[in-house]
Amino acid sequence: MLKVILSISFFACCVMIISSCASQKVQTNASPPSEESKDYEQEQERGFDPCLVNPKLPACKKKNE
Amino acid sequence: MNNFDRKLQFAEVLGTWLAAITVVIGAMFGLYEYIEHKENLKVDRAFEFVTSYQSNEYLVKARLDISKVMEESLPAIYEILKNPKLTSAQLAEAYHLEIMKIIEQSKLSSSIEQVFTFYEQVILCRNMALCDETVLKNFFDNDAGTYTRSFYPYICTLRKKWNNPTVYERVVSFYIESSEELCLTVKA
Repeated sequence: MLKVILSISFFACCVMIISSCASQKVQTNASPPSEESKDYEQEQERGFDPCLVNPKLPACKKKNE
Repeated sequence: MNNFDRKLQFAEVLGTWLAAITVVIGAMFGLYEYIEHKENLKVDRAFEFVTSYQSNEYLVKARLDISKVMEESLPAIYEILKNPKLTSAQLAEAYHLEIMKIIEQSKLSSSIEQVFTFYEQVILCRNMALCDETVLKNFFDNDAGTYTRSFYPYICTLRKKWNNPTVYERVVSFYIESSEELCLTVKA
């Protein structure tokens, strides 16, 4: 009986460790693709923001300003 | 109770405890996996927006049209924004008129509305905690913020025209700090 329970516990531990490793790998894969990040960075550089030119515009005002 | 019975009892108690610990660990592991699965779902949903933003032909065309027109119009916009003689009110009015002139001349209304509607959906997903905050922040905040601050005169005009002060409210209140006073200066 004890042997069976110990075997099950050991098996459960092994499954947990393997699953954790696998899920870590999935999370790593879920990070943004490098090509898309590159596009995004390029777009960031291209963007025009009127508030950077003149912060007096109504859209640039901070609260209670 | 002889020695064998005592050992048997000990083995049974130990077995019960081990089984209980295994169940608890299993339950905790299941909960952890469930939470992680939920997080992965959020990331997937956020990336669906990113994919749509990068590859939906109508949306990409709308963004390209806006970028092209803005690039051509930048000298005129800069002239207004960098004019030191204008007071805040004059600057707001001149900028409003210039942006509206650009939009009308280039027929950009539908493109701008398409892009803002998309940003509204992104914010909705974010507010409902259905999408991953970090992914949306990194992929959309810069674009959506600059678009909102650049084209706020169009939003104000729509609000006035439709007599509806809540037009694109989500985008405006998310990206513009003083959103309540945004359209107060609009006359047109």
